[in-house]
Amino acid sequence: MSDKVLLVDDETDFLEVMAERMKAREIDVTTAASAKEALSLIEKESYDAVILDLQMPEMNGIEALKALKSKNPDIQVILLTGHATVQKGVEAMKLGAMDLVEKPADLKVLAEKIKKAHAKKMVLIEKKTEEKIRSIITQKGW
Amino acid sequence: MAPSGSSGVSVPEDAAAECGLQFFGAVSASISHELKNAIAIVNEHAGLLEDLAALAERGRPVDPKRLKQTAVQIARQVQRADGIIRNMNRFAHSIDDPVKTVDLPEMVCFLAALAERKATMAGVVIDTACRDASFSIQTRPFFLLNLLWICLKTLIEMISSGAVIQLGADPNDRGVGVWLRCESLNRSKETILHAIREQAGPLLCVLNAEVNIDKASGCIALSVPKITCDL
Repeated sequence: MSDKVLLVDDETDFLEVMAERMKAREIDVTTAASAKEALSLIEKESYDAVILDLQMPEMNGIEALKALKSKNPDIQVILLTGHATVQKGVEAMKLGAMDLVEKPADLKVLAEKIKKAHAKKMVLIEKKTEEKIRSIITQKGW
Repeated sequence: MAPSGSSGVSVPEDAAAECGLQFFGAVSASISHELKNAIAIVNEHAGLLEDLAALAERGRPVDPKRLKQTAVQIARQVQRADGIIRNMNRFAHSIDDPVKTVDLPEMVCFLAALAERKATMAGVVIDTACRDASFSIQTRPFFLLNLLWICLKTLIEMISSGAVIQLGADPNDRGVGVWLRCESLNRSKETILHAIREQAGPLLCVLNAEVNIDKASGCIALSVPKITCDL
């Protein structure tokens, strides 16, 4: 099964070429040119990872990360930034980002992080399913 | 006369220099972010060419149209980065001469170029209304640019997304004036004026400049003498 990714960046040239390269690697990629668009997309679809630019007009990456996490706490977000500082990294991790990658990004590295995000999502789904089954068993008294 | 510090440099000069360092830092950081974006796109196109070459090696023909398209996109980003570096170079040289004769409308246009990214990030458009005008003043160019930056930055931070800031320069009774006009303010003009004066106090002092609200037009108006100090 291919990884499902939402790529969010206001640089449309970047979105187009990055999406093309991801598709060539059999990653199922959807693009959004703004945080607002990304927020509306995650309401309709589930993604293994959201790759989010930190510096975007109107709603920046940190604000978007907060909004994404409040809509779906399990969502795996990888932040893309022009300048990755320790301070920014810590702030992003505290807010629940899975990782922080500096631009220009190495697609090989990014693809590995997407795989990790997919695996993490699967673990979370399994855990939730297990909890659900346990709750049903307890309630039904089998 | 401004009071002197222990180094013999007047206090407003010291404070203006510190203001200038912050300005230099803010513009340099903005420029480096913009460059990173251009580099990131070039990097992806280089990666795409590698991908196409790898496919060609495995026998899949490469569409020449796709290659041409990639070349055009790379050239576009190179041009963009070149423009950013040109501005960076001009900005770096703005500190070369402490006092200089400068074309004020040209400086206003340059300011708009420097602030473009900040404006875009806030969803604001800067419209310069002095492209064809030309008149010179004898001033401290770096401090004046810094003062104009503070005015524009403060306005950008206090207006709603989607707004347009009009920016222009005209000769006036006192010397020359730069005006900033915006209809979609989310704070009172007095609040904006107070914020500008608070940040730019030392610069207003060393440039012998004034910032006010023009009663007739409602613009934030900056007034500077035609000759601030001797060359």
